[in-house]
Amino acid sequence: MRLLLIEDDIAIADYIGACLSNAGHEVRQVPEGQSGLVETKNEHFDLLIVDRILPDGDGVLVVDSLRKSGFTNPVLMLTALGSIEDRVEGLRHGADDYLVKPFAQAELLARIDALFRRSKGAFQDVHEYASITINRRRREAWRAGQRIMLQPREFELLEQLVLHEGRYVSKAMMLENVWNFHFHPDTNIVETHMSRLRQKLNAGFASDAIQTARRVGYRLRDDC
Amino acid sequence: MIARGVRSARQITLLFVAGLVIAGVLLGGIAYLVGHDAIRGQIDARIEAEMRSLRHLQKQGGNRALLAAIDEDDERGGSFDYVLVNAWGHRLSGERGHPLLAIGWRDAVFRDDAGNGIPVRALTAPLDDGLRLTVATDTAPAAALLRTTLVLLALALLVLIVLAIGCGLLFERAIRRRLDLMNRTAVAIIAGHLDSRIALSGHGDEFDQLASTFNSMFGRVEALIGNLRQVSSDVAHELRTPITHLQNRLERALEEIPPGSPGLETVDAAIGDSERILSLFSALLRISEVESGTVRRYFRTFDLSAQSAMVVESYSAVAEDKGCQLLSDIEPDILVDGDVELLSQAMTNLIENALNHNGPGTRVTLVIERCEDRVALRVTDDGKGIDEADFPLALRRFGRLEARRNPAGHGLGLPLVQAIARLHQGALELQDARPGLRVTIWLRSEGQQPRVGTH
Repeated sequence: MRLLLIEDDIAIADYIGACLSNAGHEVRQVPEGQSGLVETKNEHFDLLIVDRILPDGDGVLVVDSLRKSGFTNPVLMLTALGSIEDRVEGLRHGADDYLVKPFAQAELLARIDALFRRSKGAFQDVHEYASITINRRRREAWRAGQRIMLQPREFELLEQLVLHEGRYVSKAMMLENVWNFHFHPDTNIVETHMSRLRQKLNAGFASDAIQTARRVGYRLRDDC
Repeated sequence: MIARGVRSARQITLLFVAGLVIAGVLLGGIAYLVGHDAIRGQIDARIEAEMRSLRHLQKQGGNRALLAAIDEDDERGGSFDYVLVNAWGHRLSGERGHPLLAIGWRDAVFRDDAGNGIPVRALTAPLDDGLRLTVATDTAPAAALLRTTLVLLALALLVLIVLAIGCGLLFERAIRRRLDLMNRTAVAIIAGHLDSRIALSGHGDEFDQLASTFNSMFGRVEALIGNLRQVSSDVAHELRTPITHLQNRLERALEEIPPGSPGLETVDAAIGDSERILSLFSALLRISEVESGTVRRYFRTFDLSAQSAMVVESYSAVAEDKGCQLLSDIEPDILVDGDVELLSQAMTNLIENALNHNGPGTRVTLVIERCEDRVALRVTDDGKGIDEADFPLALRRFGRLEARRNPAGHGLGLPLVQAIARLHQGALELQDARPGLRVTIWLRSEGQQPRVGTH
């Protein structure tokens, strides 16, 4: 994928650039909103990463004018503020997702992945990954054809895993997408429900369908 | 005294109308009395003049001339009636229906030929030769004039009352309109629209003066909150940036250190430390954002019952893992205006506090119920509880109590819950559940946002 990164802090920009290149993306970096807008006019980018505070103004305004000029690809907003107002305004002005600094490399990659996938659209009821099948409308799940009975939160966790097709989903993404929590509770409710989901999903099977990576998140094994 | 007793525009209007009516009645009454006296004085003067001229006639022409003058006047149908009697009480002139009156002024009733009573004003005086003369005049025309005056005065009073009520209502509406404008602006500001200002009428009147004073106050509030926001975001930005650098470096180090080497654990722990710094810092910033009230702009109506049920469902698994029990008693379909995420955060904080501060076997209950026009969000546990004397301490940021109860926590849990309750124009209440702690967030139910002022 071709990504444009608009970020004025060189150390952070370089770090993000390195992360993304390592993950196989092609990255163009610019330090200002204006030059970013010029770049999007001249070249095609699959996804934009825009810092909220830029030397030539608010990143929200960059996204605003980008959207007005007809740019429809996903935009991920970066911010050092992390306030509610900040998030709401960012999303209201056309950002698709919102990541508060500092963030782990895996978190950034998982979100970029999710955004790109979301932009391709996935609206059918039945989804499959490896041996797992879910029906989103009827909220039913199967592993290797065997029906798995799940609680609502457990189903939604599995839904996230299936929709991400074997890529890591971070805890923060689970909190946002399943619980709609943009804060981190003291207790790890993701872990609690994930362990229940894992128990139900693995009962009667030899292999663990879910892989956990510390500080990264959860994903479905492609060989489960 | 009156001014001190007046509380509403309606009362001012009523006082105004009552004052005008009293003034009207007094003025009308005085005008009537003065008019009445003037007309009477005039009648008396005419009678006196007639009496004088008849007396003079008697002195000049004797009794014969007097009688002739009286008879002539009677025949002419003049404006006076006469009764003349001699010293022996013998009636020399005058109709039979006219009574004999004592000396002096009298209001009397004469009867005409048909026997109808006619009110008269009469003066009776002794003349020469022992004669006694009464000169009287019909007062009906004067009475009719006074009656007409009275009717006119009553009509004027009626018009006055109608005008007074009309002016009063207009006045009341004008006051209400101006006050409502101020009220709406203040409510908008409470709701987080800090840039709202009261529109001035441009007349430079008292309301404009008050409004512009309020506007400067609102400007000051906006500037202060703006400062607070600016400082918070500066602090956030300035601190988060170096922490971001630190964490990025640590992550890179984690990748570079070969698996199994001793440095790995240290780096891992350092990442954990920086995460704790961030979580503390996020909690502080969140409290200050919640306290500034700006988030009220994003309030919307949501189903608190459904959201609470979801939180309970999520946390009952957590409670079970800790060997505790999470129960709930949720009245269905309770709607509130607010921030669903912040209230969820408050709920999870309270539930986590109850679970973390007490050992296994603790029973925690979440209750959502309507109490009159308020909604109670209540979390009760049967654990160790807090001494009532320590309640204020529990709500203090970084309170020692919180640190003692939960060494891993940052002591910002309850202060954040309190800030969230206040953001929703509610209150936080701590109670001893004997045993255990009961924490209640009091909220307004949907559509019960405060309306300050004229209502």
